[in-house]
Amino acid sequence: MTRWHWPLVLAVLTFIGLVSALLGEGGPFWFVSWLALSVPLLVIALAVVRSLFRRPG
Amino acid sequence: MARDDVTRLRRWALVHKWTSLVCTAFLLLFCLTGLPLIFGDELRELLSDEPAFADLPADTPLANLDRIVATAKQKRPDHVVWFAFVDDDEPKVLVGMLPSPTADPRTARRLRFDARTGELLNEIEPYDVRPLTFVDLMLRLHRDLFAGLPGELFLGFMGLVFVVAVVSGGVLYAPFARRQGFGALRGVSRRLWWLDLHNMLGVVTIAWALVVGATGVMNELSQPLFAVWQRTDVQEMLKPYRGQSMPEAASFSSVQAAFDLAARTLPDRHPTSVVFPNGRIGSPHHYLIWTRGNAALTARLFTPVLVDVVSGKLTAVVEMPWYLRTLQVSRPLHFGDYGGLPLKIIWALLDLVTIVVLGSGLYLWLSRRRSPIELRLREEAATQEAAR
Repeated sequence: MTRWHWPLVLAVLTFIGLVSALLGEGGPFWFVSWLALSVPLLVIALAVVRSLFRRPG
Repeated sequence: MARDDVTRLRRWALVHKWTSLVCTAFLLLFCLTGLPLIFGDELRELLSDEPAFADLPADTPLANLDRIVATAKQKRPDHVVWFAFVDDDEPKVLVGMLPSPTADPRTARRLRFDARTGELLNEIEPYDVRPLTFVDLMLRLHRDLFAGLPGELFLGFMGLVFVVAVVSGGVLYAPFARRQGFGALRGVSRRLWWLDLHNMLGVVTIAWALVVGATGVMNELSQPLFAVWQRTDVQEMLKPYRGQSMPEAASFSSVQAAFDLAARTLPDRHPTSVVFPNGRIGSPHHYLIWTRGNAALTARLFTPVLVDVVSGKLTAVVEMPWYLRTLQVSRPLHFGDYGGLPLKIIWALLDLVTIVVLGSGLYLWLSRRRSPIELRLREEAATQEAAR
């Protein structure tokens, strides 16, 4: 379970983001969608930046 | 790790390798052409030299559709009206005209009207004649490689292969990232860093990639799915008209009245377009009026209404089969055009991430070592222990 803990959380967030904008027009529905779908991108950015600072050479 | 597990992993590794190799080139094409298509509306507007709409108050009533259709007929007396589309986003009515009721849709001319004044703004040449725009070029490459239905089916199959590659990649993620912290990219060697990046990007975006891949497959099947509907459900509805010839255009009832009737019949929906009787799509005896819901969710679900073209009376509100409903829902989930510009930007960034996943997968394959999976698993474990 631990191996899939974070990927599962991100998958759930992605589905929330995808469905939210489908359910409502504008306002909070869109905001939730933008926020939820941004999280995977922020995770990627964080991981890459961290590794670039650590990476030798 | 048990022997059975290793055998199972070896099989999944083979599935991932070959499905990825088969579809990578086409997926790169999808991602590269899909990137500008995400902003297709904005690019069309930016690159368009079409005349602008009149600057009128927002509550200006719309012009009568009958008058617009009459102007179109006057402009092109050698053509028949195929459809009229009333845009929700801008004050536009687009009238499609064919050389004959059975002519190839690619020969259709489009006449663009101001929806409020009913003024003809410009005429758009048929696809076969007019020069290809940048967005058209991207769309054709993305949709069918200029090969029509065979191209759509082929690319749909590639989409399916991609879905299998994503699922198999997900299965392989767990054993290779077992003792490693989530999101950690090992800097031990260049290859390991790219392997970790490939795994991390793939697993972080797995849900999005699966949804966009699966909905892409659905979109590629839209032509055959509509053909099935036309040959089954629609033909069943047209049974009472069997053997009758198509009515003359002079006997057609008011298209505006048919539009209004559809709106009154389905008060929680509004009509967006009308397909005139023709020998290809819809009915040769009816106005086929497409309506969309007024709520956010139902706005993506189109329901057709059939109005007898001669009497102007309602024939049926057509229930769409499940496969066309699935297609309708899958469209926004593939295009990412349902949450404003920020969602489009997020979609583009996720598309770029997919390009990196594909590129890194290709790099890993080209720099591969010919070692069995057991050895690679042992090496993975040893490297992770050493990094601790």
